[in-house]
Amino acid sequence: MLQQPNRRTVTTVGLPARKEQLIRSMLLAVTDQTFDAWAFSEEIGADVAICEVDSPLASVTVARARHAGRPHCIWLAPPDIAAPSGRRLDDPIVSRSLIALLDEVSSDLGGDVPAAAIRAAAPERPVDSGVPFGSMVRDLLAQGGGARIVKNGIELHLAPAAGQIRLSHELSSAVAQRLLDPADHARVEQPLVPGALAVLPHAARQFELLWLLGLAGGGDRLLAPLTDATPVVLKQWPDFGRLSPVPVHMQLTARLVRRPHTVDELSAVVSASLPDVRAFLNAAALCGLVGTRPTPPYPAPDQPPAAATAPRYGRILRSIRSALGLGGH
Amino acid sequence: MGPREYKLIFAGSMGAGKTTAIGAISEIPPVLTDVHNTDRGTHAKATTTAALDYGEVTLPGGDKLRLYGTPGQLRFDFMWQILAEGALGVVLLVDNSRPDPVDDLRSYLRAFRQTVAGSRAVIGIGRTESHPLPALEAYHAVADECGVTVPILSVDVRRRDDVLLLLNVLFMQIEAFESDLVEGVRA
Amino acid sequence: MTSMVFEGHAVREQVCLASITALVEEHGDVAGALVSTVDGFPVAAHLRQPEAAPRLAAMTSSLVALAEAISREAHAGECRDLVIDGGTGRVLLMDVPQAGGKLLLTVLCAPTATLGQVLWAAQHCRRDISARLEATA
Repeated sequence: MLQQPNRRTVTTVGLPARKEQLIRSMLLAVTDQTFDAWAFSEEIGADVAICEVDSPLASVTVARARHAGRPHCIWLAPPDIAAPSGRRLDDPIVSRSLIALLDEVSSDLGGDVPAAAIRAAAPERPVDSGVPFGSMVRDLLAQGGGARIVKNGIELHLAPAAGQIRLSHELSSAVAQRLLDPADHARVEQPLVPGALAVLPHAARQFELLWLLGLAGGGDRLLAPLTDATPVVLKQWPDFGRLSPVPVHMQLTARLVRRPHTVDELSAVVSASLPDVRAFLNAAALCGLVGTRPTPPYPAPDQPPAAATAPRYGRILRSIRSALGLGGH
Repeated sequence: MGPREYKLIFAGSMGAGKTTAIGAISEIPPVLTDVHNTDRGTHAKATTTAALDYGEVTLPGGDKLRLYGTPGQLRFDFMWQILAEGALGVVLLVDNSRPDPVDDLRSYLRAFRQTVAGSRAVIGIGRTESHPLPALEAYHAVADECGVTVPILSVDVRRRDDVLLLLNVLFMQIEAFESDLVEGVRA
Repeated sequence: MTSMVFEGHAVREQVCLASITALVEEHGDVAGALVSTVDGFPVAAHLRQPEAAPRLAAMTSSLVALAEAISREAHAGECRDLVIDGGTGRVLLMDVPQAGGKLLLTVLCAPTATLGQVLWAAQHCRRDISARLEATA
């Protein structure tokens, strides 16, 4: 459903091996933050060439670029050194600057995004605050094309190819709360035009934003189409390595990946309040992790009676948790 | 009544952080069986685990939780069988900077299939900060391929909290499985 | 009986193969022998089942590494030899010190073997390998 990114290439001209290696590594690290997908190439016919200012090879490359229209040259130099006219990247390289320059080139190269005039054509429009903000962000991400969102003093850039979104503020529960504030409308511009906007200072993965929005929305009701009566399952475990793990979320997940439960069943089995269960399900639903299945007929007649199947691990796990200082069960 | 051994296994490719993970939680300095790595072409590390790493945590009541790290390379797979025997669970660690880490995971899921099928496995993907691709979706796809659902988390096992998180998730899985058994429910 | 050398340092392989071939051929009680690296790669083998060489090399590596860890724990010093006494045979493992990095010698013995004699022969083989490798260095 996401738009396929354009594949672009970067090469270097006249750089010492160490700097070339650094650029190769940086490309790997920023690959899901740029508008297009960039990869390193040995070929002089790449889309972009990062050139050492003093290198004679670089002058040859620039001359070639004038005739052939490619590569787009970017001069690499320390801030106090003059460079020929054209795009410039300061050395030492900051990844944000590299991202911004590559996005600028993406804009020049065109590709699937219409010309920069789009930005003028699409006026800023408020979005009905009745649409849950989290659902709106999820839908915008799914549509492709990207978007710029401004709400309550916070700006978000959703780039189509990127796994990462960029924010004006560091992502936190408090920021998520501000984004859900009904007192302010969201302004949305589509599509996101690369290179036309300043690169925002903070980044987060798409699912991290959606998760926090789901939790911050509270548990008064489930997001459509889920209802309290619908048994739900989780299709997979969320990446709790990146989401601040709360024990009850992990307990809920452990139950929900095994078989369907309704909100009431979950609340009973992990001793959590209904709003807490709903907020968790909303967060998981925004991340696309929730599924529904018809209620199956479960217990099999040949299963031994409950009393005879005593837990093997229950006692020892409590003991291990205690020794490791793991609370929460 | 209770399990025969209180034992946790840390498995995964060379350099994924098995020894580090054990070191992060063991009470004793881990016992290592490191030898000189003669295959520097395949991996730059100077040493490699030849038999096992061993660590311990003392439990209330005086029993011990034993922590075992396996050697990573495929030629030592006989050790994986030996060590996994009777284990409470296995922590599979993947290094996202390796050439084909998804295939690495496939090998380990197959090697530990019984433990994995019994919901007693957790997967930790390391080095995702510097190497964001492959994304975790690729690993979920491999688990689907093997017909199992396993928790998959981005972690840095140099951090004790991340290792504890992996174990916490593992235990919650086991508890959910047990809970179903007690309730007489078949998954 | 099949002899094998493995890729890598050709001279080292040839020297080891010559020594273990001599060991096996000169002692009726020795059923097979293997030289391998500390991290489990075979270097040269003279075995009835040659396909067992890689597996045996890996297992030897694990066993010796574990034996050394135990030796350290027991303050018994560096582990020099390991003897596995089985119902239908014996296995001797010993280290072969040499400048390029220690190697491991595994000797498979028939059940009729006198331990003292086989140990003597194996130690001779190990000295022989060390000396020849030093000479070629």
